Amino acid sequence: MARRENILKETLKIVNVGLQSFAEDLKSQGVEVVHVDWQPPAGGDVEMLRLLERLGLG
Amino acid sequence: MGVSGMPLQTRARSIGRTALERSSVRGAMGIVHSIFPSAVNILTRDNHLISVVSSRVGRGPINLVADLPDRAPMSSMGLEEGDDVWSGGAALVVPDRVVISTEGASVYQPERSFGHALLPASGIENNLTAMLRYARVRGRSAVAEYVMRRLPDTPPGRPEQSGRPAPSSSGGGLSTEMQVDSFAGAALPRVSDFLLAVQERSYPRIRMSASNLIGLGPGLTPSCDDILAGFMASLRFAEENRIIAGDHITRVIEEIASCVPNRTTILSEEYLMHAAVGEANEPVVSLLQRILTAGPAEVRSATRRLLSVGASSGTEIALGILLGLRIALGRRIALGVAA
Amino acid sequence: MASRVVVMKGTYRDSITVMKISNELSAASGIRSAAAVMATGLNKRLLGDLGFRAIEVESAGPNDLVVALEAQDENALGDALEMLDRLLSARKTMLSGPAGPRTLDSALGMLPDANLAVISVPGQFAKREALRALREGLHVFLFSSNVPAADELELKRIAKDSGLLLMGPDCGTAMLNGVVLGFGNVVRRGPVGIVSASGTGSQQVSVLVHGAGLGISHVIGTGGSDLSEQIGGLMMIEGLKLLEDDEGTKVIVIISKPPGPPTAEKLLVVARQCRKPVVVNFLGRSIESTADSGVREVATLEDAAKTACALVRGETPRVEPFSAKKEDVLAIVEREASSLTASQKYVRGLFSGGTLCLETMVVMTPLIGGIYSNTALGGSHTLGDANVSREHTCVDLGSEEFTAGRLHPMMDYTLRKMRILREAKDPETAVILADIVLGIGSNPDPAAELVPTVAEAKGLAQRGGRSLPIVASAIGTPDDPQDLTRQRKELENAGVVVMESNAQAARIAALIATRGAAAPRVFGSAAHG
Repeated sequence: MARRENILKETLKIVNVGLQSFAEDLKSQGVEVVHVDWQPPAGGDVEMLRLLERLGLG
Repeated sequence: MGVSGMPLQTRARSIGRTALERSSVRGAMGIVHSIFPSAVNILTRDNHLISVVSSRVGRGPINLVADLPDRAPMSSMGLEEGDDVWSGGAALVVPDRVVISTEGASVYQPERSFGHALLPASGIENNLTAMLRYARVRGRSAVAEYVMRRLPDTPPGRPEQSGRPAPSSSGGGLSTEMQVDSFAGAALPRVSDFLLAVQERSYPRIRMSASNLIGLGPGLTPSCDDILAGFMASLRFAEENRIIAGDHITRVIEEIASCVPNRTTILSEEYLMHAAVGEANEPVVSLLQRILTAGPAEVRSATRRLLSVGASSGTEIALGILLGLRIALGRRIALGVAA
Repeated sequence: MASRVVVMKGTYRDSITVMKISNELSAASGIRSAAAVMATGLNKRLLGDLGFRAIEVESAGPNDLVVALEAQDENALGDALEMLDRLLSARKTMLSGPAGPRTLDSALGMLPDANLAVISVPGQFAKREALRALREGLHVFLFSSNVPAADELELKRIAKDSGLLLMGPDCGTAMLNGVVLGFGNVVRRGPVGIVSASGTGSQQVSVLVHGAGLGISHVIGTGGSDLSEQIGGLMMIEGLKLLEDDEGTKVIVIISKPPGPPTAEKLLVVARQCRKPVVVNFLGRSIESTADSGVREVATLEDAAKTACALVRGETPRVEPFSAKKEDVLAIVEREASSLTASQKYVRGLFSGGTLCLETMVVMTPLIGGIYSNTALGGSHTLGDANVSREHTCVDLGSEEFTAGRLHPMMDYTLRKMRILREAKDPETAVILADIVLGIGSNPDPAAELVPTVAEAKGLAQRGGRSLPIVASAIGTPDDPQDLTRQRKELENAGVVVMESNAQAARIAALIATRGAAAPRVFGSAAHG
């Protein structure tokens, strides 16, 4: 799904994945942001992950 | 979609002897006690700890090194303080959250006795000097810095003495914050007292001065505890390699160890009691091994590794090692501080 | 004076976390000192001796955390206690099970019209997360580093084909529609747009544009490797086009380390075709005199800002080595250099921004000769040990070898403070130079962090019979949370020579170290760099 609208004209609405401090800095600027409490997939096992992705489950 | 609903499955690569004993209980073995960026601590039913860590932290007597990506914080395992931990034969389980298989994990039992590889005293002293010089510059402990300033690069009586000039009484280690002024200032005379007591072989005084040190300082393992842990571990290594006679060592360590219960945090107790029997985490053991058998460059490298442990613990442990080994080699240590 | 000691029962945090909390409290305004220790018997007694007494402390046990605060008044104390609460519970919510979404999918369920993802996961997972975001039609700000070049290329191609921005990997700064992503300064909106492969480079240019009374439309970050041969400037070109089409942008500034000739050429071709004037700063690359109308290549970040502003105003850019008058600059140099001893020969630059370190070396090398560094301009001047300076030295403290296991030096000043003291003890240090980067994401009060260390450093040198000039560039605006005006004032009160830009700081440091001998090269003709 490709978007062609110009991001430079839009109000930013942000999903933050990773360090929570970034989400906090954005909130303090009044930006709407949802923070994802990210965990490594498949227990962080990169091999397992590749396998799951090949099976369409990753 | 995705696998986030499944429990995290991983393997233990290595397990310390104590951790192994504690986790071979079957059934409910304890709870998740605390979650740090680099460790998940499990409190067993009899109030002891096991630390689940990644290989970046390294092996150790109470450590279980799990197969996790080095940079993912331990908090990403999805555990919470208070979660029940079960032991089922060859795995530790937090129901619905984590399964850590311990089958095939190697047991951490590092070598302490080095036989012919042991360096002569002069070699060991050169290594200690190298470590001290490195730690003075890269150290991260105000308490340790206070003490290190008062130590000569090479102890008195050695031909190539290049001792530093007498320390000035200027205050402040890294800064003039409260922690430096008060805790470092309080620690210095007590460390001095302790060292005098050990060198005089005055056992009651050893016990008293140790009781004035244990629990003192900032840190989850208080600064003075870490110095004592490094001290005891190094004495045990010295004993194993016959650098110093056993009976005195045993007595000194008993006096220190007798002061430990109820005086400090649960984690520090673990480290102190293990140090008392010559067991410690990998960065400590590795440094001791290199000081006793390798060259200054390798010692500096191992020192760098140890200094990066914790906030200030690594530096304090290194100081303890220095003090313990110099005393074991029969070199006099005087900090020049009134008790 | 108000003080309080608080017991956090059953609060068991690792030492680094406690230390960070203690440092943040100490840095809070109005707080004289803060200490956080475990309530062991000895620690309680010591706290008691220091005047912190409370029933809760007495009944606290060795596994409880105690925080002791000394504040200048009750208000400051109250604020600090709130901060403590927030710090402890913030870390707890990060650690404990989330109430919030755990995947991008569920986040989009909560915010269906999200249009941008900020991603800062470990490098080996970055591609996966970025791909998901792009497939969902989100633009991406990718802070993660250690992403393989092949992954970066794949991501950027997909982004380009989808009409999306992929800012990164290893992108620390962007500003879209006035919103700072990552690290960035609070600046006026205005007609200067920036496309940059360097975060602190963008910050330097944007604060100078603000200081000149103009403003920034957008800062598009491309990540540090965008102009490598393999990536070929893919995002930079997309960013350039976006700014070209953006009504609010009148002049475009491009910032990067010098690319290889093919990529440089490709980029300049695009720049020449741009309808709007383009100012190019390839740090460290000597200026090619371009007869091209629209494209101007400049030597420093400051020149980029000045030239951009001049273009907006329809003026000729005035390229001068200093904002202040020559006599005033020389007076400062005279004052600072007058008490230098013969042994003091070298500049010691300690940087939190890699680009600022690089720019400093570019500016100073023609003035003082070879400069050693962990990110040296030439292989012959690479430091054997990044922790030990040699002759003239500029160190990038934000580089990998320093940041493993620590917060970035723009946030955590510990390493820098220690290094300042070490350099102060060295009798060959003539002047210490540092960049102080303000803004969102950076340390909340660098002046409070540095002032005691500056005093200690100067004291140390003095006891060795030396004076110790300290020069800093303060990169920020009065609207930044740290307030540039206040930061400057406090640093100047402590005896720091604060310059308006990194380039000017570099020049004045060179003048001080050479006791003014470099003046002809600084104030003289041509490409002073």
